[in-house]
Amino acid sequence: MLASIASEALSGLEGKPVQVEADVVAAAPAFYIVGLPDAAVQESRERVRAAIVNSAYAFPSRRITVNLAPADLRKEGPSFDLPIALAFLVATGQAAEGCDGRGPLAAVGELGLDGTLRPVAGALALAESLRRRGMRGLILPAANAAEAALVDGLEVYPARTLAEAVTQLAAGGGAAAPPADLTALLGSPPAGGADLADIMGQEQVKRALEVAVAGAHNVLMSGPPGAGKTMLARRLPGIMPALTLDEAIEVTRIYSVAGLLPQDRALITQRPFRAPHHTISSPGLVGGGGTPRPGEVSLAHLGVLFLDEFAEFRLSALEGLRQPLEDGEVTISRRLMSLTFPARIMLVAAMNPCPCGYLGDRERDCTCPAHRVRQYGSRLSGPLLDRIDLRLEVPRVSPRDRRSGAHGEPSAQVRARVAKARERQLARLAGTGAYANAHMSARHLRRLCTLDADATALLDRAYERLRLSARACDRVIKVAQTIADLEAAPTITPAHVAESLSYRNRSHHDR
Amino acid sequence: MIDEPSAGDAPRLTLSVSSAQRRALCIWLGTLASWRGGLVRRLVGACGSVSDLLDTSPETLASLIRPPGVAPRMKKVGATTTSRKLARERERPAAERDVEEERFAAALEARPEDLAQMQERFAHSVVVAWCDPLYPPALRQLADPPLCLFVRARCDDREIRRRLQILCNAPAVAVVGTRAPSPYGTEMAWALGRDLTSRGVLVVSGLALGIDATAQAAAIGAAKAAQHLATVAVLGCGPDVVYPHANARLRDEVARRGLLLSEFAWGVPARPWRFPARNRVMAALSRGVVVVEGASRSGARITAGFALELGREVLAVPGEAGKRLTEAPHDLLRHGAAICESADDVVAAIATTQLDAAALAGHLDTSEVARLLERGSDNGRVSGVLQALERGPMTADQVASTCEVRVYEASALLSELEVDGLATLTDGGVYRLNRR
Repeated sequence: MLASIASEALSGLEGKPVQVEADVVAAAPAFYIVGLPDAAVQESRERVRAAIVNSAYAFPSRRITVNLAPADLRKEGPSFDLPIALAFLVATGQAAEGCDGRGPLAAVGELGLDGTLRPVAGALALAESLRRRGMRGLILPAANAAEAALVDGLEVYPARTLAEAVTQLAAGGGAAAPPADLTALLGSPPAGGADLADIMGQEQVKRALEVAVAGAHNVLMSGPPGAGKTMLARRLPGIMPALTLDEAIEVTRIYSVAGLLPQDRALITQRPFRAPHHTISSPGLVGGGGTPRPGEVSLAHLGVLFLDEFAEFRLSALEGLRQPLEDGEVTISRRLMSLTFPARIMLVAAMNPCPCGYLGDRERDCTCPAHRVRQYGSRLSGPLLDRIDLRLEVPRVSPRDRRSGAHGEPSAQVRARVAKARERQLARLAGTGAYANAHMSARHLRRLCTLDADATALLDRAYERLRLSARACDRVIKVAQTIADLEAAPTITPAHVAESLSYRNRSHHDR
Repeated sequence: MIDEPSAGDAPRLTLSVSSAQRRALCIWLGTLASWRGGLVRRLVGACGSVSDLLDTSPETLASLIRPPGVAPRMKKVGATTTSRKLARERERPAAERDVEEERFAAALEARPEDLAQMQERFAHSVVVAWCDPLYPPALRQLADPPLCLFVRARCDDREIRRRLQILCNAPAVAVVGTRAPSPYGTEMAWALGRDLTSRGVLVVSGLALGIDATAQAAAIGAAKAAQHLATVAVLGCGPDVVYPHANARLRDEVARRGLLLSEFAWGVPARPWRFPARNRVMAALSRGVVVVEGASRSGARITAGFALELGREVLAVPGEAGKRLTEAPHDLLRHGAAICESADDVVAAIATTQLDAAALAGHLDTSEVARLLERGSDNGRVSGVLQALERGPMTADQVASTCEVRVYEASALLSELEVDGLATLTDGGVYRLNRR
C-alpha cells in the first residue's frame, strides 16, 4: 500500500513543501527513509516505531520505504516524525485520510516514544508557507498551535498525541483552533520592563540615546566600568516605537525558527534586546552553521543588539556586522542554497576607553601604557566605525551627583517623542528606501537635509577646528537632522549642529 | 668595558690634519658612537679634549676603540659589568645584538673618508660635524658632545642649512614629559607648545608619544609663517627611522616644517640606552627645560638632570598633589625648579633681548570670546557656561545643572565653545577651558 502526507521543511526562515510517501510491501522486514535525510530524520525510524507500538497500533513485519520528496532538498530535524507515522498508518490501513472530502491536511511534529507530540521549531514559518501553497489546514503539536494560529486563512488542528492526530486526519480536522486575536496579543501590556526613569544622572547620555533611537542611529558608548552603560542600553527597547503587527510577526518568525519562542507566548510584542558575550563566534553573531541558523543580529531584528566590551569581540565577528548594518539583512551562502535573514538592528556598542578602563576617569588613574591605549581603540575598523553615528562618553556618576540627580523622564514619554520624530522622517524619506535618518545615503543627505546659513557656517568652522573628516561631517548632519525632527523644526539650526557635534568622543571622532 | 688608557699613554699625531680629514673623522666616530654608547666619553677621556681627539690618527683611534687581540664580546661581559646590565644584555635577542655588533665592526673597518662619503649621500639630509660652522654651539658645552649630527627634513639641503642656522641662534626650550599624560598634562603641553612658538621660542622635544608629541604638534600649528622653524625633534634613533610608529604622521609634519635631528646615524634602531643619550642632546640644545608630567623615574627627569648639569633653566608644571604623574615636576619644584603655569613663566626664565616684544604680547583668545558673545541671543548662556568652566573641568551634565539649562542645550553650547577654540572635549566626556 502506498500513502502520502503533505509536510514542510524549514529552510532559513521559509518553509519548503515536502511530500512524505510511505510504501509498505510484503518482503523482508526493513524500514528505510530516503530523500536526503539527516541524522535526526534517520533516527525518526526508532521514534516512529516506538510511538506507533506504544499508541496501540500494529507495526507489521514488512518492508517499509519512506520517501521525502523532493529528493534533492536536504531534510533536517525531527519535525517529519508525525507525517512519517501518519503516512505509515494510512499505508497499513490503520488510519484513514480526509473522509469528509474537504481536501488533505498537512502535518508536522516530533514524536515521543510514548506517542506524545513535541513542539517543533519554526511552526509559524511553516504555517505561512502552507497557506501560500493553498493547503487547507495543518495538524501540529498542541504547543505550537497558538503560534501557527497567527496565520490568517489556515486551519490549525492541535494534537497532543499520535492518536489524536490520527483522529483529526480521519475526520478532516474536526475542531480547528480558533484564529488568534491579533490585536489582543499585540495590545497586551509590556511586562514591566526597565524604565529610563530608574536611572539617576547621565542626562546627556539619556538625551543622546533618545536621539539615537529617534533616527535609528547606531551608538558606541565608551566609559569606565560601572558607569551604567549596560543599564542604559537595556532601556533602549522601551523607548523605541511599539512593534506593528507585521513587525511582531517578523520577530516571532525568527524566534520560532531559532527555537527561542517562549512556551507561554505566541507572539513576541516587545522589541528584542540581545546582548551576546564578547567571546561569541562569527557564525553565532551574524548567523551561519552547516544548516544556517539566524545569528544574534537576526535575533535582534527590529530591536537592539548590545555588544558590551566591543573591542574584545573577535575581529571576524565584528567585520561580519558590516553587511547587516549596511543592508539590514544577512546573506549566508552554502553549496546548495543561499539564505537571507533579516537583521534591521540598532547596534549599541559599549567599551572601556582603555584596557584598564579608567582613562579620563576623574577619580582613578589609568594604568595603561600609552601604546596599549592606542592599540585598544584601533581594533575597531574604520568601515565599522563609519556606521556608528553617535560615539558617547559615559562618565561615572559620583555618588553625590547620583543622590542629587533628579529621576529622569519615564520611558513612555520619550517613546512618544521618538514615535513623532520617526513619523516625520518617514514622510520626508518616502521613496528613498530608507526608513530613518541613519539610513540616508550621502545623496539623499544633500537633497533632503536643509541647514540654515548659520548652521552651515558652524559646520564649516567645526570641520576646520575639530579636524572632522568628510564622513564625520555627514554623520553630524544626519544626527542634527534627527535632533531637528525631535523638535519638529523644518530646517537644521546651529543649535542642532552644535548638539550633534557633542555626540562624538575624543578617541574615535576623526574616523 | 675597554680598559681606558690614561691620557698620557695616547700617542699623538704631530702632523696637522686637513679640515676635510677632521670632518671625515667626526662622521666616522659619530657613526661608531651610534652603535656603542659612551664611546665618545671614553675617547675624549683618553685624548684630553675633543679637538685633541680629532688630531689623533684613525689607526690610533681604532686601536683605542678596540685594543688588538682582544675580542670585544669577551670584554663586554667582563667582571666590570654590573649584574643588572648583564641581565638586560642577555634579555636582548641575540640576533639583534649581533646585527648591531656587525654594523659597528663594519664601520670600524671602513676608512673614515669612505664612510663619511657614504653617510652624506642621502637626499633631504645633512650631516653636521663637530667642526662645522653650522654645529650648534650650545652642544659644545657637553663633555661628550655628539661628534656629528644627522639631520633630516623634507626640503633641499640649502633649506636644511638655513634651518640649522636658525637652530644655532634661536632661543630654544625643551618641553618634555610622560608618554601617557592626563588630559590636564596634554592641555598644558599643547598650550606651552602653541604659546612658546607664537612668542618666537623654538620648541624642542623628543617626538615621543604624549607630552612631546602634543607640544610639537601645537608648535607646528602655531608656526604660521612658512619660513618659521616650527620645531626640532631630537630622536633616539636614526633620523630616517620611524619611531614610535604612532607618531609617523606628526614626524612627517615635523620633517616638512622643522628638523629631525639625531646623533645616531642613518638606520640606527631605537634602543632603551639611546633615549637618555638623546635627552642630554635635547637639554644641551635648549636654554630651558619644561617638565610637564612624569613619574619619579622618567625620561623627563633625566632630561631635567642634564639641564641642571649644563646650567640650563629647569621649569616644572605643577599638578595635582599625590598623583603619580606629578611626582617628577613636584620633586623638581621642591628642589628649586621654577614654576611654569604658562609660556610667560618660561619666557621670563629664559628672557633674552632677542625675544620680540610684540611676540611676547601674546595671542589672546579674547577676540574669539567677543565674537561669540556678539552672536545671537545666547549671550547670557554662553558666558554662563564659560563661567562654569572657569571653576574647573566639567561634563555636560554638570554644566547643565550648574547653569540650569537643559542638558541638550548645554551640549550644544559646549560644542560651540569647542568649535570656537575656547574649550576642549577630553577623555571621559569632560570639557576643559582652553587657557590662553
